[in-house]
Amino acid sequence: MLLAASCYFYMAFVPIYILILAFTIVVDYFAGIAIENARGNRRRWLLMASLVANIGILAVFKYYNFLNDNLTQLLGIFHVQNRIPYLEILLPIGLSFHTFQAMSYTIEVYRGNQPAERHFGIYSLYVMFYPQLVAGPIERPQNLLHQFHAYHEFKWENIVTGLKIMLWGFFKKLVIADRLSIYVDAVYNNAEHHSGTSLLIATLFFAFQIYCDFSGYSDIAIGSAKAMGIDLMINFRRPYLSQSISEFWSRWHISLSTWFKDYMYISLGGNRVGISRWYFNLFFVFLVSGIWHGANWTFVVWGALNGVYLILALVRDRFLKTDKTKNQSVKSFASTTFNTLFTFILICLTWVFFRVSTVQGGFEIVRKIVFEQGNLFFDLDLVYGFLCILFLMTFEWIQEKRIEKLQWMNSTNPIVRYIAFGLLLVSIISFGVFDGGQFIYFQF
Amino acid sequence: MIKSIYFRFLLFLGIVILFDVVFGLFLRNLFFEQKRGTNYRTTFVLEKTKKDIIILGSSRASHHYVPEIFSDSLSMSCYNGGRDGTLFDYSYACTQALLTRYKPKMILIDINLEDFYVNTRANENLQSLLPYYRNHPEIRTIIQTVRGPLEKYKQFSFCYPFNSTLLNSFSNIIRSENPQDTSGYMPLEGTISEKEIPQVFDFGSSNKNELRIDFLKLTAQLCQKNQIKLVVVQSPRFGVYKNHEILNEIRDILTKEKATFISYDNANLFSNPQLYKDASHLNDSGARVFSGILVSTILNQAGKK
Repeated sequence: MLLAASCYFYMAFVPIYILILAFTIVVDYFAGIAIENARGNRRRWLLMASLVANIGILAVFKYYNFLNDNLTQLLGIFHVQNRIPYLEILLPIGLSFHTFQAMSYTIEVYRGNQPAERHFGIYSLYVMFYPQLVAGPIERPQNLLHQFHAYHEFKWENIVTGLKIMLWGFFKKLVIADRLSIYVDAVYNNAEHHSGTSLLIATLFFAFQIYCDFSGYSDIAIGSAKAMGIDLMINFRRPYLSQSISEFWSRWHISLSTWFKDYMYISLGGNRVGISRWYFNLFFVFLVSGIWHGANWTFVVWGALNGVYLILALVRDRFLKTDKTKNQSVKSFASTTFNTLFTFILICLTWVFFRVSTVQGGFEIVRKIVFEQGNLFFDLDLVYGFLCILFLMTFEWIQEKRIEKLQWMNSTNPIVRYIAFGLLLVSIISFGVFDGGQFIYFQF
Repeated sequence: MIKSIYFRFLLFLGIVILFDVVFGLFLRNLFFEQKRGTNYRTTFVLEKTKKDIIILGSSRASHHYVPEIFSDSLSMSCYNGGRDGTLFDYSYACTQALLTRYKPKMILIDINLEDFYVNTRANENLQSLLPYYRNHPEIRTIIQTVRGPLEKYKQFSFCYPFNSTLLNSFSNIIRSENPQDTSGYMPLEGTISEKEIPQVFDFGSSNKNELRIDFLKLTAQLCQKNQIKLVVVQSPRFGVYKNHEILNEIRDILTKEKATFISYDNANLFSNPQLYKDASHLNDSGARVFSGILVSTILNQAGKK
């Protein structure tokens, strides 16, 4: 039934695209069994075939036109016409996510960490489980497959917990993300007419918009799975409280960052290589991560910036001979605040390139922020935006510091819990933006 | 166990309803306490005004029509009830609401041609009329038609109609200067660059919005039935229209219902960029010139009859 529901869910977009999903499911299902039964080099060839099939689908639907566009521009330099036709196709929803999830399965079978799934229906459900099909979290077979085999008896606690998580997700999406997007869109869509000050505020707002949009979706996915008794992995852990870029990437889009770490970074040698190779591995992984997000050079710049940040942090640590084994818990409040703010500013700079549609546009916005402050574009959504951010960061700080008295939503007193969730629901009705459009990460 | 779950669910529901009612009543009081601002202007049109001439439409209405010029020339009181971001649906709903209270002598509606095509611009989708849903049964059908049949269920919530109004209401109440806007006209200052190239609006490949055309027809019929002079105007913009056959359809509908239609479509009279704040809106100087010309046209047409 879950599989049928997932098929129906996927086909609500472009029905024929279910065939793409079916192709990758069939290929990986048989590849998994064949890899498990094979020996020696044959196992590697089978894994390669599976990965090529998955990446091939991704390349055609997501990157073909982008690559063709760049080829046109390159040939244009030599006054040669590009005769390769463009494809008029829509990007299948969730393609990047379920492709990576499928690839993690065959890789884990190859590594011997996961037995090949013999039940075709269960394997299909692993790839297309609808709560996380379109925007993750990108699951691992070790976490998910056994849950589909297990018998799940009806538990009210799961439904209640799941609904609570979903409610929080809807709050982040409808009240915070979509509210912030009003100001962000008004400024970024007319960047040439807005001052650096307005662009700065819009960038700050976008940082929280994308966080609440994406983590909101993740919560909705995790909550709806929980209601069915399935536990998905946590995808965000208060990333804007990070004190370093490296910590940020252990808290942001955790399912993707761990995917890249386990399947690309470590495969390239990780940090168990020479210094220059280590830096190259980091940079390359983040470049690919950028490309994964979208077929645009702006995402490549976004990924490259993150890679550069990490490398610079490592270089700094080397020069300062920072001992990470030292107890970090006795840092001063000033030091912690500075590190957190500095990390946030660095991340915001990368978000400029994530939001814009051209690299040149991104650099222009940064230039205006630094050199052309000017008057602030004032709108009541600006006030709403700051109030939302204040509320969110206060809430997350309370969670981070585990101040139990203030964690009303987890209170042992049921009346306090009901009041907290009641207020949340009424806030969504009173302040939610209901025509705010789709989730940002659906486009990936 | 089951009883406990039902009890907990009912308790939670009770708490939600309590918060919704209390906060909703607070938002309602705050909303209707306003004496200035966009929402007050809508309240004034729907519930208070008894002016002879009512001007309706979107931002182009609120920025293009100077009530004092109409009052002076036509010897009738005038209020400009234009509201930014609205479509003809809003004007139709306001007309319905007005006519349940009194009969103005003239209703003047500014239209944007592109609004009679499908999916042309972002708009407020009648959200501005949700606070009036409960007390104005005459606009409920219009709201449900535009926003969907589930709207009547959403209106059970006391907070929902006042979604996103808190800060706006609060800021309008605490501001102390000139609390009451008596004419509704909102002048714009500034001009576009002389080098600005006129926008081109080509509707060749667009599909008509049949619902909105129906609303236009119903508005005209309503005014005709109540013997109210309806004047529909396509005010000037700094642009050129192409392939806009909808103009003829609008003209035919209005002529049939004995309404007046005046179009300043591609009018050379308004090709001077100095008259415009931006490509879609006249500035105060342009609005005064336009209002004067429009009034003369109305008087001339009345004189011919």
